[in-house]
Amino acid sequence: MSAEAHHDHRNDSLPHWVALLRSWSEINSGFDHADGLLRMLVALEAEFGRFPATLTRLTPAAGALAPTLSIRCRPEAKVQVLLSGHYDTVFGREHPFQRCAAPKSGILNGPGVADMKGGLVVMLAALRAFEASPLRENLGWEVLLNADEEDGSLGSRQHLLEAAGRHHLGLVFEPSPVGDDVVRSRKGTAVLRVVVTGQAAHSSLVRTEGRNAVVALSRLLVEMHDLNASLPGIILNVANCQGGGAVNVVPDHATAELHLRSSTQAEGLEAIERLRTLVADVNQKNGYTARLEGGFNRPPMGADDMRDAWIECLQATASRQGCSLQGREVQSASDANFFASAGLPTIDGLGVDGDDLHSDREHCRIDSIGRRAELVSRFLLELAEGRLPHPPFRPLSSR
Amino acid sequence: MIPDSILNLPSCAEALQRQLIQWAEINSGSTHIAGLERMRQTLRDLFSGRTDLTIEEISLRGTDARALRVTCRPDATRRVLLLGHYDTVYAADHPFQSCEVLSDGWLRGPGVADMKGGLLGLVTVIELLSRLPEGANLGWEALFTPDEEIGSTASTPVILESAKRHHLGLVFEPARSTGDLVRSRMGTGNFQLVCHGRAAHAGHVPNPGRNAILALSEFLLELSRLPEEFPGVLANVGRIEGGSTALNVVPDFAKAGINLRITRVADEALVRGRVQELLAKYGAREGYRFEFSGEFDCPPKECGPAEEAVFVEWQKAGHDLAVPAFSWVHTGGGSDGNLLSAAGLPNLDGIGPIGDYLHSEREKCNLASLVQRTQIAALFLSRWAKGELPAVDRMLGTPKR
Repeated sequence: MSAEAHHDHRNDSLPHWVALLRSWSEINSGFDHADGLLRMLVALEAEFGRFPATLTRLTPAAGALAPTLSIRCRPEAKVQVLLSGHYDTVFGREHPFQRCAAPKSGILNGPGVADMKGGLVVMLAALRAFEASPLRENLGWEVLLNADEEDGSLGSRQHLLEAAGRHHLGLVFEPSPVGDDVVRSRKGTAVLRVVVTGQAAHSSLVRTEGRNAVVALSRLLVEMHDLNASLPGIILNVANCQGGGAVNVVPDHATAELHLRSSTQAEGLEAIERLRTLVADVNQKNGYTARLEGGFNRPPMGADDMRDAWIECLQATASRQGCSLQGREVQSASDANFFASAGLPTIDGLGVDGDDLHSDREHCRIDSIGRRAELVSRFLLELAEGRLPHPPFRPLSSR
Repeated sequence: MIPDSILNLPSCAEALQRQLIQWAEINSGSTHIAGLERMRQTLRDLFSGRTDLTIEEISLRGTDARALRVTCRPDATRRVLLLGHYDTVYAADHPFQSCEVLSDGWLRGPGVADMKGGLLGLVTVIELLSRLPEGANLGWEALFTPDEEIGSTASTPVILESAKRHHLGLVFEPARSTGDLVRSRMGTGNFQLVCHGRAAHAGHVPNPGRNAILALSEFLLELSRLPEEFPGVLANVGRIEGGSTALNVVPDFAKAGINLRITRVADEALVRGRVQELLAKYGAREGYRFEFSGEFDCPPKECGPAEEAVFVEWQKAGHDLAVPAFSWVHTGGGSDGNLLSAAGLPNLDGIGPIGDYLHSEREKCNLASLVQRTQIAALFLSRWAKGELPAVDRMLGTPKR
């Protein structure tokens, strides 16, 4: 690897990073688009391959359509930092939103510009700056990029959990909650499916022989949704439902999918317990059955002292940069939830400042790319230098 | 005094059985146009050579299938409409295509009860009357339709038109498995309820989204309670669909398909009024919009004094022929008898042979009842034609023409 490859000054300007983000945005890498994910993977390997690092394609478990990419640099160094991101987006190959544009000065509008190809550019730019310094020898890093975050990370979860054990600190490049802020806590998410069965009959027998599964499901969904009022720490979304067929037949089958967020593990488990009780009530009724499938996908990432201490360190770095930031409570989950559950101190929301995620209005503020990259590279440098007063490192479970 | 030809009908039982098997094995599923044509031709052939009849094949709107109408003495002082459908629920590729004589006096086969058995009774009644002198006093029209099993959409105008020309309608639908006739039938209609809410990311607090599935569910729960409020009304939510696989999005769309049934014509206004109240109540919620569409395409068949009078004589004819006693019942399912009632024609429904397990591969017809129910219909019409039923004449009045 040549010195020029390590540090190419010609390419460190903001226009370069914006051009790179625009090109990445226009590579469709919807989580269900295998070919597009592979194209994106190759593009990432081309950029991250310029570091003196080991690139490994980790084979995903069932669920992900493309590998998790690990780029590991100096695993023997004293301090080990994990930088995590995903290269899938929510926009499938057939989605009309495929182009990246600059509708007005300072704004990019395109698929994934914020969530989170913008974050991947920030990560790359920060590491490029960091690797230009001789201090780099004190700090090793691993970039971990998965292909199924938008689909729940089921196929990459094991890789994420294993990587958590190799590092002292995790940095996740999801878009910032707002402005220059970062994530203090995230809700956990559960994906649940309710299945109700009844008894089919001609619709003229609806009161006698029939047991209407659609009506039983409707009642159950209304009762379930009431948990939002009685358990303030949760958000339960009834996302879809489907049941029955010909209207002159009493339907014997109906299903719905629910999405549950909770601030703490305890609240989430209580919510699921309450849902189970409601389902059990249906089972008490003659001719009906009901069941609840699924459970927590990402556990809640509650606020904790260790993360707060790390956010204070980052605040100190930001102030030296002339910025200020705070930790924010966020309602959605990300892969940071997995790292936190594995005991890795993790700061999330280090990506770009963007909005209207998951819609064709998704956009990011261009100036945040440079500001974020500078913040992260400074933070890594101060960490490598050893002059940042930070919480004690935990012993690593593996290298 | 019972005419010998009617009394002796049991001697034709074997011939009738053979004829029924032959008809049942002509597939005439509602969508099988060629099969329907074969069945219609078979019926038509029965009347060929009779110069006193008018035979019409009637084209119907929206289908290649046709109705068959045979008319005799349209100016007679007593006129009866004999109604039957020659389609069945079994499509051309349905596995159930042939008959089996069961050991206990039943015949199993596609349409043997619903209603080729009834059609056979219908044409046999015409045959018996043609040999009786009093038959000359009776005007009749036999109307065979091809789409009853799919809602009679195309035949409805033809049935309504025929209904106006007659004093009495006889619908040869099968009798219940208990032997009972049909006293009344519910009216029915299919409706769609659509709810529009507002999409939003589910994680926002407070959330600007309006969950269409939840609002629709609440609406449907109230709708499904209509029968508690209005006796004689049934509501079946047959289908629901809403939202998407994007689980973190508050769904802005959901819809349901609903079948409503009513016992009395007056129930329609009650049901519609209640639905309007619910639409107003739920539509008043900020961020929601509801759409309700559909209509009662099959009105209820109510039992009136004319039907009561006819049924008394029907039972008496059965008694005189030593047919096991039977009653009549209310049923939730509709038939073309509903249309006759809607047109104001008094009619007796379920006068065909006793059937069981209709619309299934176990459909069967009681062979003894095929003879008996035909005898009853023939004896009733013979007595009516002779002027022996003044109570019936009083109730049936004058048709509108």
